Amino acid sequence: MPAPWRARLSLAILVVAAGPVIADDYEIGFEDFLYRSKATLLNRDNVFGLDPTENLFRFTGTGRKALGRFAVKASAFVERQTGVTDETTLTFRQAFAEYKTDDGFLLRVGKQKIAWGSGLAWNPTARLEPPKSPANPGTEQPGIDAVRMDISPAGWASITLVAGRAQSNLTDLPGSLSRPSDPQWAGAVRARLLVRDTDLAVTYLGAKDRSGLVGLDLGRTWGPVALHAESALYRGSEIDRGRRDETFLRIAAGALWTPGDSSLSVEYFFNGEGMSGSQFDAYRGRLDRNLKAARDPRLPESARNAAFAVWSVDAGIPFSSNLGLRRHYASIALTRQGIATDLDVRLRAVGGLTDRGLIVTPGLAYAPTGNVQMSLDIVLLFGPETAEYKLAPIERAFQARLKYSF
Amino acid sequence: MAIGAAAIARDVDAQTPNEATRILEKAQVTILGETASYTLRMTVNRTGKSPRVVTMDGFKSGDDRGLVRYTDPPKEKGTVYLRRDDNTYIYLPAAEKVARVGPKQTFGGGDFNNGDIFRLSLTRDYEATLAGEETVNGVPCHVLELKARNRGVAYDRVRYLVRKDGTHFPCLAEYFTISGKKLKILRTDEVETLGGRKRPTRMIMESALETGAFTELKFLKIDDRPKLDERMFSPASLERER
Repeated sequence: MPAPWRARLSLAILVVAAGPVIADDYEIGFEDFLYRSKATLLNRDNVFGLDPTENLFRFTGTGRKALGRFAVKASAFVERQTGVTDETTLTFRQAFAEYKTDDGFLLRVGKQKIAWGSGLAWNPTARLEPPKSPANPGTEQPGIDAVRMDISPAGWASITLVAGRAQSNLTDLPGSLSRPSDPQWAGAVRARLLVRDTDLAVTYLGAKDRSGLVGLDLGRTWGPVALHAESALYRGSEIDRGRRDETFLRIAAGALWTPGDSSLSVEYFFNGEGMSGSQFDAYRGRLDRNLKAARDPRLPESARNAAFAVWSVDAGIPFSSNLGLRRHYASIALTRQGIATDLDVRLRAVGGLTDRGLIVTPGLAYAPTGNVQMSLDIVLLFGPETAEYKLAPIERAFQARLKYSF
Repeated sequence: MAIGAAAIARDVDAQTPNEATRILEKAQVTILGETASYTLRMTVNRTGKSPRVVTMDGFKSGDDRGLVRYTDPPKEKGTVYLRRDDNTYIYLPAAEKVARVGPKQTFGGGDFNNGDIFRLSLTRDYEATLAGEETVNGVPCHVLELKARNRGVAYDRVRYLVRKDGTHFPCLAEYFTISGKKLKILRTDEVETLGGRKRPTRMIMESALETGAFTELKFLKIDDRPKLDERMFSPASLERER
């Protein structure tokens, strides 16, 4: 099918999926992710081949229809990517059918979000689907193809079973930064309990060709503050294939305070498999050496190709399945609702505690009517050039959204 | 004689807290019964801003279980508040996230807080004493002084007025800090037949600290005998909302 026709067909499917005919509630909208690229230690001489401006423009639609205890939901977007890559694609974030009862039973089949965990910027126990960006965790993420079943033997206890095709690569990236994911069959069981006013969740997650993950999640209110700690113990490094037999710990712990129309959250993230300073220096050194070798005309072609292959794997690590390259991170987020009529402001900052890299994301949300929501977030990167966050070949990014709800 | 009068006065004092508690027990079930489902419209008013109107469906079971789901406007539809025992949660559909929140947090950005909406047993949270009578809008009322039994509840002290005409409808409440500073004033009115019986259907919470700030809750529909499964009041149920 020719590309323009494919795009038109995609658009038609999306409009029908979001249309009022089949949905109890639905929304349509636009998203735009605009990136200003730049050369960095990772993107020397723009080896990723990015245009100065890369743009992802999306027409989005979501529809949900409930028929008693049954419901279907579809959420999708048609994306027009401009820059080095110039193409139009259709992506379903969710497309599922479910049967749900008030006594806590749920059976959901199809592409769906599994996201769980009390962590605000990082969720070490939610490793079935692409990790959210800690710089803007509110960004809508795609789900995975899965079957999910929930059972609640009592109001204070529930069990969730999931079998599906896990995906973990970062999303919403332009051009060659966006790497195709290789879905992997995985299963998870999660028991959630409320014991003595403390939320407790235990998770086990296993995947084909991968050792298991055991997660423990705790949440409790302390005075006006809600505290949480989400931890995962797992075998096999996600950033270094040479460390397949080691066991690692990740913990995201923090607090949320919500006085009046404001909220303030802080979170610390310990990434046990993260690189130490010397390991990170060695990683950057390896990137440099292999890229130089790949471009060295004095070397035979086979050696250059081999060096480029190694560089390519290393260069893909920041954009693949992991929650960060370093060990210690912190985030802080502040929101203030109603600073003017229907206008909210928010400010998020995520920092690497050892390399002083910082991502600051100020944002605005405006809802002029009950149906319309607009938001704008700007992603700004600070810190020394050798910091992890400054490796990204992005100078800054703009994320704009407009939604019309019916 | 004087000794006898003093003895009678002591007996009255000794009985006063019980009488106050009895009045409070009756008053707190005049609007919603032990178990209820309802539809509510909340209007938040702030000086210089357009009123914010939210419609929601709510459910309560006993004193410790409450769930409220926003149904309108579309931009806020799907937001859910849950109270289970001393734990309050919010589900935010835009972020698809369940978060714990404190009991004193503002409910829905208005002047009510989560404790006002979900902490439904005043007799358990407050020690009540009778403190005289007052007339509100021509209706004689008991004045109850409520003192918090612990610091975890929403207010340290409440002055709570209940109609003396046998209906036990609450008509006015004033909320104070431990130092005596007045925080809010609640007026209850618009007695109508809803769900088969007469009850106050409107509550207006006015801020004593911010001029022109008040929030109106208007009950549109009430069912006092719904069949509710206890498991719908669980934090895990919020994770299934998406």
